[in-house]
Parts: sequence; structure tokens; C-alpha cells
Amino acid sequence: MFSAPVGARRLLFVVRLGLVRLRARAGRQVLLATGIAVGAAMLAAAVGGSVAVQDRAAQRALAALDPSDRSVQAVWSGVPTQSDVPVATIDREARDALRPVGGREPFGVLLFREARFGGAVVNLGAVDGLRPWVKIHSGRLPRPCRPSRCETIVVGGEGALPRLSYLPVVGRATIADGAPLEGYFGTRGRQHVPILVAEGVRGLTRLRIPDVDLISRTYGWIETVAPGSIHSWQIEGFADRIVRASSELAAKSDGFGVSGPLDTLAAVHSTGQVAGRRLLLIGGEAAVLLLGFAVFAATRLRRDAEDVWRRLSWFGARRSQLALLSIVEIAAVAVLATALGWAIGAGLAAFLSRHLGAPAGSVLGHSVLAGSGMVLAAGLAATAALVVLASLRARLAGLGGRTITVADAAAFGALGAVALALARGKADAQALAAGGGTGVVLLLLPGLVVLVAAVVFARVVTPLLRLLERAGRRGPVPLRLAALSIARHPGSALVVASFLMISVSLAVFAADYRATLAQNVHEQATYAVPADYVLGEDLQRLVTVQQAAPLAAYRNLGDPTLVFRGSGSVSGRGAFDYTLLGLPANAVRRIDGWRGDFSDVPRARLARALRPSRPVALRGLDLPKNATEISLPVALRGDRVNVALMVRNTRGDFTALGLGDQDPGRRVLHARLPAAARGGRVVALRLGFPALAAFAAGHKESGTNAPVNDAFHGFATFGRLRAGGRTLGGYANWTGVGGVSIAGPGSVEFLVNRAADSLFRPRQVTDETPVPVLAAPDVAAAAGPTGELGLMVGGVPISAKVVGTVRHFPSVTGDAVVADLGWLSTALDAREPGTGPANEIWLEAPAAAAGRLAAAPFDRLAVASQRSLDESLRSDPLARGSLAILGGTAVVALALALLGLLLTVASDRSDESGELFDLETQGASERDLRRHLRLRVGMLGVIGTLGGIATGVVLGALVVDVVTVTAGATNPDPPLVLTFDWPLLALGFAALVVLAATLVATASRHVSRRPV
Amino acid sequence: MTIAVETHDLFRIYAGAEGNAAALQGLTLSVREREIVVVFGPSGSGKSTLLRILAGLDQPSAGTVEVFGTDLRRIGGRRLRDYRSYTLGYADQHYNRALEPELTARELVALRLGLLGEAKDERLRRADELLERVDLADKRDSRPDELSGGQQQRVALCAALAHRPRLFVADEPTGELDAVNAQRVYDTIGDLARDAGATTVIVSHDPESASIADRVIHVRDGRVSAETARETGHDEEIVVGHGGWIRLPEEFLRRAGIATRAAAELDEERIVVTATGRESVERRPAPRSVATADEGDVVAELHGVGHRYGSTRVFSGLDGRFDGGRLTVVTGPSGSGKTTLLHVLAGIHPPSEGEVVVLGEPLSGLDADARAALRRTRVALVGQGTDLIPFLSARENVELSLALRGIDGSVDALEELGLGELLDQRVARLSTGERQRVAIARALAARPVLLLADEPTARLDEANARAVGALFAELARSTGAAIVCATHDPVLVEQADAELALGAGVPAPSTSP
Repeated sequence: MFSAPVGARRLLFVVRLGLVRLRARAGRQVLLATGIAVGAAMLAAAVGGSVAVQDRAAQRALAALDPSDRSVQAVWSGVPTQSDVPVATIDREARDALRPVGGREPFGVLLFREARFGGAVVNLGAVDGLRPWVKIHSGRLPRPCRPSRCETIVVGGEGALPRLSYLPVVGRATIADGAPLEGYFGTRGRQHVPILVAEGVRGLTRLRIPDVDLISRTYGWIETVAPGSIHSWQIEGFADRIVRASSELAAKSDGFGVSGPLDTLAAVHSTGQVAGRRLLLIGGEAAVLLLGFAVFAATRLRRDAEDVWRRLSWFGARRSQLALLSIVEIAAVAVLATALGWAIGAGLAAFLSRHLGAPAGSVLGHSVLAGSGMVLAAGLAATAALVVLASLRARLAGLGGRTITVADAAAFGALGAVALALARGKADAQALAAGGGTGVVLLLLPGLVVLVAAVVFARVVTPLLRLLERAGRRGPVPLRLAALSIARHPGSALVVASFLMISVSLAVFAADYRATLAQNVHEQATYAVPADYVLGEDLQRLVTVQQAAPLAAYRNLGDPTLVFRGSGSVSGRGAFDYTLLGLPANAVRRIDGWRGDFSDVPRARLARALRPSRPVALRGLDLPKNATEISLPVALRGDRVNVALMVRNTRGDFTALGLGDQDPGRRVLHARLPAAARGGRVVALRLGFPALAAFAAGHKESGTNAPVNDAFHGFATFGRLRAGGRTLGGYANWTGVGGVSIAGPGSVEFLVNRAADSLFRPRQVTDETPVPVLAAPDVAAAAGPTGELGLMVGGVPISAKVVGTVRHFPSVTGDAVVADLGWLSTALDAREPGTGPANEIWLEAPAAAAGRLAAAPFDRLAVASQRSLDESLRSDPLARGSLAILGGTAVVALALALLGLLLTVASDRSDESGELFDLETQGASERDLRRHLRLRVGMLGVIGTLGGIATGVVLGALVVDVVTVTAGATNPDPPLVLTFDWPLLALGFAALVVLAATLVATASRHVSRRPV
Repeated sequence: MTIAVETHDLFRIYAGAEGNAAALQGLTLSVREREIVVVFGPSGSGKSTLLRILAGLDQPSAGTVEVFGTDLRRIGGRRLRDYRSYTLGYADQHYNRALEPELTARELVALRLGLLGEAKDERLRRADELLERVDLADKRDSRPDELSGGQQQRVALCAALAHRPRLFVADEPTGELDAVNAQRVYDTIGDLARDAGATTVIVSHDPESASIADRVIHVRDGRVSAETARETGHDEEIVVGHGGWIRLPEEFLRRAGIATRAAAELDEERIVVTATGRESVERRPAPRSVATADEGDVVAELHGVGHRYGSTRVFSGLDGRFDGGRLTVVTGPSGSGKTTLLHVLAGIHPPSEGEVVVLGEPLSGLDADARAALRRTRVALVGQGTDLIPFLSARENVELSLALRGIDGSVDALEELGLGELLDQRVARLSTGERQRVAIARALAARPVLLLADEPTARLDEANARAVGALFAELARSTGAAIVCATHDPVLVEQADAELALGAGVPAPSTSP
């Protein structure tokens, strides 16, 4: 036997032999190399593209922040003389903590808030390096402060300025856009004191102001964060540094506080993670395509591989040498093709990065060219090589009399993984952000499902091919020959058809998933803003839609619809919170954002169910328009009581006219009618606890869990109201609620406490009839057998009856309860006047109205534009990137399908040359032979395409149901529903057929026969 | 001299869908070291099975087999691999499939040595030495597709013997070669085997192989039936098997009129075997006489026909005629253009020069579709690798061909060729000879005027080859068709009515008996 060195020579010889064969047979490897390269390019483009779009999304989110909110700031507030630590130390500690966050020196800010200097109360501050942050309008910039003198400029506010010679004002300016100083010198809202700013924090600190050390102040250290300075791959580290700085400073002094865009960073990071993980969908597709193509290619190489194994076996090659030869040949192709494909994909990702404005080099350096990217590429090459090797060397195993292949085993594994994944539940944005196994497995769903489908397809198609052959025996000879030809070589036919099935299924899936996401982008906008504009109260301005402008003003812009929005819970079951919407019943039929799957009933019928069957307006006593004063005769017996008139204004809101606390006795109560209430309607007399008694009761209740049982009791008789020189109607058909009971015409007995509103008011329709509502299934399930249930709306209980179920309703996230506005308002106002008026206006208006809505009087409201939201969602980088990648995937998958067809024809021409020659000897003409080849390929193409379309549709439905994430990587509202872009699908299918026919016809133009 | 190979009562039973088949039935054989033994036998006699067992590719069902004292039944795994790597050398008739197309002749001969870990210098030196011995030194840098068939086989032999195996086995090493090349190959085997001191076992149909043999063994029905040793002067000896089993030559039996029963008696020191009665031999029905041409009419003619592939001229200036009712063979060495000539006659390839006339119609005047139409109705070609559809029956294959040709015909040809009982048998289950007959029946079913057959007896033993030759001759006479066979099989040539001999690039004048 030969010694050890001989062993190395044996192996080295085989390696050289493999390389020689590879060089000589490069052409035969083109197919395999092409498939691997395309798969690698898809994956690299998806990985790199994902990072690019995530970065773009991060920049967008950061740019949307106010400069102050975007910067990182440390703040120390207090009186220095009360601190153990000198100011200089505080300053050093803050700078040392902040410096590592952004790698730059923060600039300092100082503010004496509303302090008195020179007889004037001012906001006095200083900034290190003031010039970039202000815009001078008059005068000049202040010079740096000295201990004896500190020039200032006025940047906002109003009021008297200090009359101090050492604190002169040398100019007027405003804070520049982009300055992160809003929290110190902000001029939003009305500022009642002047805001003075000097140059140099240290200088101002040393200014010889009497008792300055006793004045509380705020020191700030600001590190600006410009959009584009933090990239998506830096977010996690940046946020960690902010948190570390905050912890460090908190440990040094409890006067320190650190703020930064942590919430935004966390949201961006989370969204980016979701987008990245959802990208595995595409990556999974790419991997399946790649591996499917590798198996397809391997079958074309199998004969050659078996030949060389046989030859070398006869030459005494050992099994290890044969294995090494295969490994060398396949691995070399896999590595080179992967490298080429990875490079191409990186190029595509770089192109996309530049297009999005992201730094291409950095994007690639943190994705395809990063360590993890290289590992992924290496893994891809190794996997492709292993799959090809396994396909070449697959042994058949037996199980219960049937043969089990490697593919069968893989399919069993995939099926198990799919079942496990489905059992773990849906993958929404939170699940994907959390990571773990769920998201990853679910996102590999397409690949797993297609693998199972391909194996099942293979098992089904084999007998189908034989059936086809039998069925074709009575058919035309060309068809019969083609069917026979396929049935003779079921293995290779099966691989072709399976590969086509995989490619077409993934193309169909990518196309319909893309269409679903794209449609959902538009649906999100119409769902969130179900009219051209939605106007509501700005929580910073606190101006209602009624207060902003009369209804006529909205009518001048377009077609307004009044809407009430509130929240509540189902009475007795606090677990079911919901959003309550009140809008005119007819509006249900025409609002945007509705989709048929929201309810099992057409919305026209839902609207009819909500419509009041009779007038439901709030009843009361109408006030004359010219009335400026109102009087009410009253006779009281018993305890004191507070009396107020509740007036519904003509503009829809309410005014409470207090008539004061009243002692027993007779008198006439007077009140001035404010302008808003003139011409309104008195809807109730409210009797309540006198103010002092209410305060005392509240004081007694504090610190205990039990309410105080204090209550005031008495009798009141009311005369008819007089206003504008007229006596208003009487109290026939009036009733009492909340401790008020009728004691006679116009007379009531009252028992008032803090627990309820006590009202003497007209009977309302809603007193006997529950409000018809549409409810979410969970809410509807809480209703009684008659459909009635109690709803608690902002603390006001109303009785409702469920007349329809809606799973979703435009503008509502979560469970919805919808009622007719009039009915709902009456029910609420009857219980507690003022709780029912509309608080939103849904306005149908053209695009030109946007400008008018941005101006007075509407600029005090919060305005949401459907068009703007739609545009924003469509332009979201994550959404665009996802849709683009899906679109590209569909095209690539179809291109690979065509390539597979083309190569099938090319290889059939040579592999089937014996069969073709035999046909020729029997008198088949060149045309007959061409037709035979084309029919053969055509039949396989039809089988594969039909299987692919069916699988693609099923896969799309499954993924849409399980992966509940939008194109922009958020939770979808409304939920995704599988959508088909029929024109695009038809176009794609037509293009596939035409291109396939053209390629096959061209490739089969010259039919080669067995060479002589 | 020591015994290199010894088998004793070797059995090999194959289980099949239609029952078990016994390839070897108690074969006992001894081969001395350095001896060259040639094994003859008809198709299905067990020759190849014996070779596979000796090569370690198969295991006997019973009996013993020892090679150089090693019981092949008891080795496996690594020892078996080592046996096949170091001890054994193998060559078969499909030399082109044994040669890596990307390697040169030198690299191919050195391949095994490389796989065994031999140093580069040593293995190349050995390769050069062997190529020199077989007169291929000037071809050492040529790749297989640059060599002729005979040259490729010689390279394959060198490759099989490069590692100086102790046992060299060859299965039909000249099966795809013409007579001249076949003789050269046998001479090469003899020289190299003797130089290497290898014990050699050759399975062959070719009588020429006996020229290098020390001993010739005849195998029939899985047993050694007779042997002829050079030292006994090549007289054939019948082997008497265990228990007195002997096999009498069929010729003797036919002449003695013995069919299925005989009587034996001892006459002094002789055993006399006589027939118990005269029995009629079952004869196959004569083919239906459907004369499609009058015997003696010219069916096809060649006028100065030549053909080239690229710059390579295959033949040129060829004249000849093929008459109806006659069997004409086209002979010539490998590469002389026999198959090309058949394709030219069939109208598959138009000739590069000259004129081909079939049934009075010059083929040059016909376009491709017209020539295809001719093949559908008047001309049939039985190629070398006939593509019958294996999962269809014999009948279905013929019917399909008739449908493809668009003619109404019957499957009587199958019965006429003795395949009546196999009509509905799937082709995959038929023997090689039976498949060949199905292919001929398929061609005949179209009632062609001109039937062309390319090497119809290439894979058949002598008896089957003789039967096919007789069949063709009879068909020609009964149908009046012109039957042209390209062949290098002397069995077929001796039954032909005429011969057209092609030289290596130069046509020989046509001859007819």
C-alpha cells in the first residue's frame, strides 16, 4: 500500500482533474451558474436595498421632528448656591457625558425664566455661539458678555424691558428655523414677558447681578442632530449612548435631565427591523427560486455526472475521490456564480441607494459587504452547492413500498415548519419587531409552501403525464408523440414542469402580494381620512369646529358632514373599549375608506338600519334671536341648590347659564345671554350641589374609597322662562332625571349630590328608545338577547341597540360603534347636555381648498388631508422599496421561467436527438420535428404555468392572512385583503406567453439530429 | 503454474417481474496465472455475468469464486475497492464512454495512476511507454474526438493496463470495430497482457479473438460447455460437467435429426447418441409476399456520389445500384462512410456531390419535405440505436409508426418475424434480439421498397446474427424490396446477394456475387 503523502497526491490529482473538466465544460455550467447568480443578485439587492430604504425612512422620520425634539439635550435646573456641586463641575460633567453621544462638543445654554431684572420680569438667557441660531431684524448681534456688561437682543415676547445699564438691548431678532432652542426661547403661543438672549453662558453667569446666585436658572447643553447625520444602522448605538449619558448624569445629580429623540429612534428602529424581517419574504422567494433552479440545472448535469463517476470508478477512483471531484466542480461554479451575483446585486443596491439619497458606500458596508452579508453569501453558495450535489447523488429510499427522495424528505420538513408557524399565530409588526422564531419562520413561509407544493406537484404530475399519454392515444399524431415523449422521460419532464411551477408561482405571488400592499397603501389613506379633509380640534389650541367657524363657512369650501367621535366601554364589561362615531346615517353610504369585507351586509342596508324613524332633535324651549337676557321665576323649599340653564347654541355646542346658588324662597333669577346662546334652545334646567358644599364633600371624600353620602333635598317650582320680551313655553311633557322627580306642573322634588347630574328637562325620544348602533363583533357579543346593551361614553351611560355588525369602520382603529349623529347626540345631551355635539367635520372639497384651510379661521383647527396622507404613504421609502423589490422579484421569476423554457428546448435538441432522428427516419419532416419539440415544451409549459398560477394564488392568500404588515412595515388599518391587479396580471401572462412562444420558436428553428 | 481464477459451481439467479432467471448454472472454470482465455457463447449464456462477478461488480448466488486466492464473496468495502483499483484492469466495447473527452491520450492512460497517487513523472513516463507500444506516440496529445474508433480502443486498453493489473478482463472489446481494427486490438491485448504478465479473460463474439488465446471456452446456458486449448491444437473439447452433464453442438443435433429426445448407448469406448424418431422442425411462416417492386428492378442508384463533413471527405465518386429482391451489404472499415451512405440513400443528408436516384426519382430534385414524404411511404431506415418506446408493446410501437407515416398498414410484420407471441409484450421486457426484430417489423410494416439497416447485428451473437441475415435475404426475395445493410459482420456478409465495399476514404468498386 502507498504511504501518507500518496493520499495527498490522490486528492490533489482529483482537484486538478476537476478544474480541467470545469475549464473544458464551462458551457454546460452556464445554466447552473446563471441560476445561482440570479438568485444571489436578487438576495443581495433585497438585503442592500432594504438597508437603503430603512435609512431613508429613518432620515425622513428624523427630519419630520422639530429641531429641538431632534437634538440631544442635557438640562440642569436649580439654584447653584443650593447645590453641592459648583457650576463649573456641573458643566464639565454634562459635557463629558454628552460628548460621546454625537462625538462633538455640545453648546451651552442658560435661562433665567421669568425673573425680575431692573424692575421688569423677563426671560433672560445666553447661548454659546449665538450667531447661527438667530435672525437679526434690527440692531446687531450682542458682543460676548463680560462681568460688567452683557449685551442682549430681544427675540420675542412683549412687555417692559429691564432698565439696567449693564444689560443693554442692542437688537431685535427671531430664533432661526432649525434652531434647537424652542424649549428655552420658544415663541409659540403668546409670550407675556420679553425674551432676552446674550452671547456666552459663562459670561452671563459672571455678570455682576445682585443676588444672581440666588436666582433659579436652567443650564442646557445641546448636541444637534442634523437629518442625515444618523443612519439607520447607527440608531441602536446612538440610542444606547443617549441612555448611558442620561444614566451617568442622573447618578451625579438629580438636577440633571437628558432628552433626545429616543421615541422616534425606537420607532424607526422597530419599523426598520420589521421591514428587514419582512424582507425575508423576498429573500425566501429568492432562495427558493435559486434552489429550484439549482435542482433543475442539476438534472441537466446528472447524466454527465453519472458518466464521469462511472468512468472514474472503472479507473479505480474511490468514493472519496468521486465526491471530491463533484465538490470541486460544483463548489467552484457555486462560489464564482454567487460572487458574481452578489456583486451585481450590490450594484443594484448601490443604484437604489443613490436614487434614494442614501450613501451607497455606507449602505453596502452595512449590508451586502458587511460581515453578516459575506456570511450570507457564503451560506448561499454552500447551500446551492449542497443542493446540487444532493440532487446529483440523491438516493432513493423506500417507505411502505413507495420510494422517498431527498425532495420528499425536505417537503415533510417544510410542511412541519409551516404547520408550526401557523400554530404560533399571525406575524404583525409587533411580533416581527420582537423577533424570536415566529417572525422568521412566518416570513420563510413562501419558500416553505412552494417547496411543499412543488413536491406534491411532482407526485401528482407523474401519473398525470401517463394519463395524458393514454388520453392522447386517440388524439392527433403530433400531440400523441409529444405526450409519449414526455412520458418516456418523466423525470426530466417533471423537473422542467416543477421548475416552471415554482417560478410562475413565485412571480404570481410577488405580483399579487405587491398589488395587495399597493392597494392597501391607498386604503390606509382613505380609511384614516374618510373624506377629502377631516377637521377637528387642535389639542394645543383648544378651539372646537363650531368655535372656529360657522357651518356656512365650511359649506363655502365644500360639502361638510358633522361627525361626533368619542370613546367608551361596554357597560359592565370594561374589557371592551371602543371608538364611538356619530354621523348622519346617509353618510355611511358615501364615506370613503369603506370596503365590502367590513360587514356581511351592504352598507346601504346598514345606513337604513341606523336611520331614525322619526325626528330625534333635542327638544326644548327656543330663545328669541334678539334676546340678550333671560329670567326664570322660581320658588324653592328645602335645602340650597345651584340652578343653571343649559342652552344648545345655534352653532351646535352648548352654553351653561349659571343662575347661582339659591336659598329657599321665591325669586326671579336673571342671566345675560352671551352672543353664542342667542337664538338657541333651552334644553334643561340643571340643579346641583352648591359650590361650597361640593368642595366640602370632595374634601371629605379625599383619602377614602367611599363616596360621601351628602345630598341636598328640596322642592322647586319654576315659572315660565322669559327672554327677549317673550314668555317661553311651559313644562308640559318635561321630566326629571338624576334625582329630580316631577311633583306637579312645573314643580320638582330634588335630591342632589356629587354622584349625578340632576336635570329637569323635556322628554326626549331617546328616553324610551335605545339608540340603534352598528357595533364591532366583540361589542355586539356583549348585547342581550334583544340586541340591547348599555354603552358608557365619556362617563355618560346611554342605551343602545345593535342593528348591525361591522368588523371595521373608516377612521376607527380597533372596535367601532357607529350611530346616527342626531340620535346619538340627543341621547348624550339628554343625559348630560354638552356631551353630544359633533367634534369633527368631514369635508368633501377639491384640492384647492387646502390653501384656504391653512388660513384663518380654519388654521386654528387640526386638518387632515386624505390626498396628503395618500401621497405621504406612497412616498414612504419603506413602502416604495418593498413594492419595488416585489415587482423586481416577479419580473426576475418570470425571466427565470423563460430561461428555463429556453434551456429546455436547447437541451432537448441534443438530449432527445436520438428520438428526433428516429422520427426523421420514419418520415417526419423538419417542420414535424420542430412542431414536436415545441409541443413537448408547450405541454410542459402549460402544466407548469397552471400549477404555478394556482400555487401563487394560494400562497398569496396565505401570506396576506398570516403576515399582517403593510408596505411601510406597520400594522395595517384596514387589514390586508388579497388583491389582484388584473390588467397587470393579464399583461404579464400575455407577455410570458408571447415571449415564451418566441423564444421556443427561435430556439427550435434548427432541430439537430444525431451526428453521424 | 498457479491458478489465478477459480470458480466452482457458480450460480447467479436474477429475480425479475416475470420470474427468476438463471444467468449462471453451475459454472466451473479455472484460469492459470498469465493465461489468456477467450470466452465465447451466445447471447444470454452468462458470459457477461461471469465477467461482472470476476470484476467484483456482482455477487454469485451460490458457488465459489477466487481470484489469486481471494474469495470475492467475502470481501467488501475497502478491500473490494482496493481489488478493483490495484488488481483488476477492465475494458469493454464502449471505449468512447470510458474515455474522458477533455483529457488527452497521455492523460487518459495516466489517469488511473494519478487516482492511485502515483507521482506525475512516473505516471507520464508509463503512459508514454504504453502509447509507444501501441503506435500512438504521435497521438499522445490528441483528445478522443480526434482519434478513430480503433485508436480510441487502444488508448482505452493502455489506460486499463497502465497500472499493471494482475487480472485483465475485457467484454467485447472489438464490438464496435471493423475487422481490421479488431485484429489490431486483439494483437494489442495479447502484447500488453503478456508484457504486464496479466491473467486475461476476454468475452467475445469475434472468432478472431481466438488468435491470441491460450484457451477458448464456450459457455452455454450458464455453464462451460466446451473448450479449446492452444496446446491441444485447437481441437474443441466438450466439457463434461458435474454429474455427467454435457452439451452437444446444435449442428450435430440437427444433422442427426435430434430435436427433443435422443437415445444414448455405449459402443466400446464411445457413447453413441441417436434420435428416437424423425420430427418436423417448426418453421416460421414465410413473410407475406407483398411485392412492392419486381425482383431485379433497380430501386436505387448512385452516380458519382460523395460526401464530406466540413473539410473531411468521407467518400467520393461512388457508383452503385441496389436492385429489388436482393440483399446488398455495404462494408468498409470504421469511418469509411457506411452509415453516411445509408443516410444519403434515405434522403436524410443530401450528398455533397453526385446524384442519388431512388425509384427513378433524383433526390436532388426533392426538397426536405418531399424526401421526408419518400421516407414515409417508400423508404425505411433501421438505425443503429433504434428508439422503440419501452413502455409500449411491440404492436403499439408498430401502430404508432404507421400512424406517424399516415398510412394504413397492419402489424402482420411482427408475426412474420416470429414475434406473434410477443405482440402485446412491452418492449422493455424483450431481449436485444427481439427488440431488433421489432424494429425491423416496424420498418417493414410500411411496406417499403427500399429498406436500409445500419449494423443490424452489432449486438447479437452469431446465431442471432445468422438468423437476422437469413431473414433479410428471405424478405428481399419474398417482398421484392431492395434491402441494404451497412455492416462489418461477416455472418451477414456471407448471406448477402451483393456487396458494396467502401475503403477508408476511397470507394472500392461495387461487387456482386
